[in-house]
Amino acid sequence: MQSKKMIKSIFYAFLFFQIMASLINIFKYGTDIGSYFFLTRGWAEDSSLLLERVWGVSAIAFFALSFWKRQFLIPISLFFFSISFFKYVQGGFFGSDLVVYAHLARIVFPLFLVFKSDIYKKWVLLIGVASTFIFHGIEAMMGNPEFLDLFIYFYSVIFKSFPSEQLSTQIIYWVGVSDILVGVLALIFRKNIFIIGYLAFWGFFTALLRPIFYGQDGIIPFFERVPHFAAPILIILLIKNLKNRNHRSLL
Amino acid sequence: MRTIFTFVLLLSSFSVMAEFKHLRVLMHSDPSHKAMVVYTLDKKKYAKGSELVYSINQKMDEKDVKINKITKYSVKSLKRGGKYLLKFDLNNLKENSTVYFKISTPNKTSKLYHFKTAPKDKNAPLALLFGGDSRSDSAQRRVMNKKMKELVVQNPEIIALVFGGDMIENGMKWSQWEKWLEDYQVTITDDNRILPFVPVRGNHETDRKLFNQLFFMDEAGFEDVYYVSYFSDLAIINLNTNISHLGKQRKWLESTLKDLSSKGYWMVPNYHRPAYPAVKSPGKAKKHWVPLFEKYGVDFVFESDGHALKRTAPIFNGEINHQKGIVYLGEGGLGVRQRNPDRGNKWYFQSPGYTYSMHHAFLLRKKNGSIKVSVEVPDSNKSFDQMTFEKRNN
Ligand SMILES: [Fe+2]
Repeated sequence: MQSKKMIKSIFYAFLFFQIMASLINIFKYGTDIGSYFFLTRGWAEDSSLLLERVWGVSAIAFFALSFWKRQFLIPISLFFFSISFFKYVQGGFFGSDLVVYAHLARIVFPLFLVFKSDIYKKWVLLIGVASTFIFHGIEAMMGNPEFLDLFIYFYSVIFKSFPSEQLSTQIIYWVGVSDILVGVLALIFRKNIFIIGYLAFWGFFTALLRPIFYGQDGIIPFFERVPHFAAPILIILLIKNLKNRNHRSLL
Repeated sequence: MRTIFTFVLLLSSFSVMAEFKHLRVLMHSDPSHKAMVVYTLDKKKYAKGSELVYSINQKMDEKDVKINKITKYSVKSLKRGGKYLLKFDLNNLKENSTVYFKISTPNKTSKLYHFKTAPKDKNAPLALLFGGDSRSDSAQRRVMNKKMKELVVQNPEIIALVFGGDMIENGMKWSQWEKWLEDYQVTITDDNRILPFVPVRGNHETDRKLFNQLFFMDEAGFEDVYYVSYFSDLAIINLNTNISHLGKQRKWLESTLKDLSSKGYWMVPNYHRPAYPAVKSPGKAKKHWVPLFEKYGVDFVFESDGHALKRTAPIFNGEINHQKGIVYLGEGGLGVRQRNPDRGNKWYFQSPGYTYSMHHAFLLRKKNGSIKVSVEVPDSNKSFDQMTFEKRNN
């Protein structure tokens, strides 16, 4: 009973921050949803901004409604999907073709409580996180300059000198390989606390690099990445629950 | 009979005096002495026998004119679209002069075109156009290209257009490049003056290889698309916001700024993703490059990407500073719908800064030891704004 409530509140707290980050982003900078309707479809700018703002505020409304009926978590997932999907449509950044897969943890995270069965709950998060790891790994292997700069900066803070770009590219390549590996391993060894724990650590660490390096400008990017560590944490709690209570569902 | 004869004569004269598709002049690092004349071919075999003749400061029909002939050209097959690019290298040009040129093949000849090379003498008057973002509104792009043509006519000391990236929406689509290259022909004046182009890569130029092919970046020696364009003692520091900001590029930037500032150059960085944006979130330039700009005292900065007109108040160390501050100008209005920049009310747009939703190009004029930058907008012969920069004492 205790862990059931705890898991639910942890989930809702994480989800709240994830939605708020997107909402602030919408109001502060706008998203590719607005850009698409304004630039590609030729809508008036006010209308395209209004559309994404209404959509963002709806996500908060769905969040509140989901306490009443958990099916309201589905449109929240759709909300995150739309943000990533229009990023893909608008393009113009490294790895834009892969963005939906790379964002899958964010997209499916709200679906966690939609399912009654703990097994489904676990699977939906697992697939999301594994996809995020695998596709970020592919981007790293392709030499995503964002990752490269995060690494170079991290190194320079620790060692007080800049590493060569060649070395950094090689290291990021192997970080990518390891991301893919743990993503795949997590799908195979689904009950291994160490593998899932590593996902949580790495997801948290890489999200945290944003506010550490970019200060205020990195706060929203950090909260957008909450599912990268929140999902593995929930998976671990579920694994424990499955073990302790012999497959009794949480809800 | 006579009508037919005249018609045939007319027809044959047309076939002799033919257009060369997407004709353009590229400048990279040394616009005083080097330029590339480039055009597009549908078939490789059309390149055969191409040659370029040019003269300096005198039209070719003038008395005692020295005519130079270039028979060496290169042809490459474009990665997409099945077309070919033909390039003539014009090296060893004379600084601060007008280059008249004509291209011919065994069965056609171009009009007599001309462009200007940059002066070397730092006291010589010099002008440049700046602008970015022309990615998704061809009609407006043509309006802006026409505006730039008018500016070239009114300010013959203009050497080139320094571009800030995002020429097209999808860098992988040849059809969009083709349209852009066609639209750029609008910048050619009625007396056949060409506006040379200095390229920088934007985030929508997603296909690196195709971009480098179209603008001969590899041949120019700048495959990573960061380089300095020297316009007498004005150094335009072109940077690439699509690649690592901290790796080789940062190292190069630091040593370049150090070198340029010790030699007393005017220093103007130009890149796509803004450090002080009007609309979107700040790019990595803010964290990784701005401290270097401030350390070496660059004079002002050109940014693109946001689709709005902006002029920041002078910024130093994250605050407004009227002595040491750097003004960031931008950010992209050569043919893309302009955004309303009012969201967020950012602190760095307080007076004399501003943002507007308005298509624009910047005209930079260097004269008597100062640089005047004006904001030029379509449908108006008056500048929208004008500011003067005095040389910093670094
Ligand atoms: Fe852009």
